[in-house]
Amino acid sequence: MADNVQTLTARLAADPTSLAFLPLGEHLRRVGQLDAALAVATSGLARYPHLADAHDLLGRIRSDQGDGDAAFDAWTTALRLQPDHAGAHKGLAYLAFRNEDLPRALRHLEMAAHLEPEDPSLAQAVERTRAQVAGRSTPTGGAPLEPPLDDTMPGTILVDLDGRRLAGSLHTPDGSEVSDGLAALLAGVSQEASRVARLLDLGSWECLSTEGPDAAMHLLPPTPDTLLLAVGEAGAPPGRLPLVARRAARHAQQWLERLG
Amino acid sequence: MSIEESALAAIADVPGVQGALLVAVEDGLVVAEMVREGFKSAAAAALSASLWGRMRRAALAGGQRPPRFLQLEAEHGAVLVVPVDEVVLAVAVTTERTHRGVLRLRLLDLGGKGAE
Repeated sequence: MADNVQTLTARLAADPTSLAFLPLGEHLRRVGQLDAALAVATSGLARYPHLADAHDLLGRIRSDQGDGDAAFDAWTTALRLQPDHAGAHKGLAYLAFRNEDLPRALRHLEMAAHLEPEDPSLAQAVERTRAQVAGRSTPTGGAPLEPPLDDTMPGTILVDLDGRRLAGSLHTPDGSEVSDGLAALLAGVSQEASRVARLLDLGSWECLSTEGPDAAMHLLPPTPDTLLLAVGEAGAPPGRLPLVARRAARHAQQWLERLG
Repeated sequence: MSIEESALAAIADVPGVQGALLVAVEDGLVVAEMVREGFKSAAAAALSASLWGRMRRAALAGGQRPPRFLQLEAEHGAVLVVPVDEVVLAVAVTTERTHRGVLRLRLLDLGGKGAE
């Protein structure tokens, strides 16, 4: 394989647009050179941001690095780009197993087995998981439905595109509940943000933030069907709230994924 | 160079900025501009004012006073808005390579001047 690595590296050097980064990154991952694998994968992704295979590779590397959140992001991105990507389904099944979420693991395994019927190990995994799910099922079985925002992310709400609150809550400093009134306005804000970006040839909108004398706000779409608003203290470092919001968005994505 | 022109030049000078505008809050019309060729000034002004209005209402619904800075991030660029005073907004539209930190500070500086 060392020869192959040299060949792939040389091919990439000669033609940076080559897809050789995919087998090269995978080889580096398999031999445990995770930092090098990550560098190869991210470089390839910069050239091919819409290639599901590249996100799948990133997911495997991040998973090996123990960063489940980043792996989840990579594999869900791969599925958004290519819903029938077997590798991404396998990756998400693995993450679900690790989180002991067997119903979700089974859903992804069944998809992977459907997409790769020639792989007997997948069919066996589906059978084993089905048996485990059947053994664990209860009258209210299935994915946990408690959203993660209330306990771990104060000052955030998740809403649907009709402006209805799905999770979280927001209060003014005097304790008044403002969640639903604010949620109702966010759908319009999102539509306007989308319109601004599209008509000014800026592509799709990614986030919207404001700073004010009382608070800062950061709005982003965790999924195409939802919006997450994080509200933080006025005067906090301007880069902090976006980080909190992105973390909350990952929680929200995982929660929505579990809901199916 | 007028006060408006020098204010806009400070924004337009930031690399990657496609257009710097002063916009009427009420109707979204261009008050003054310094833009690159082909830039859609009228659309940028109207859309920015509308977006500002919506976020302002959202802030009020959240029990907050109106914001003093807005930033929309998109795939290929960004729109940044500050209120210069109660009737005029300063708007910058950028490409993805712009240094957002510098631009934010210059806009906030411009925003502060309206209140002086």
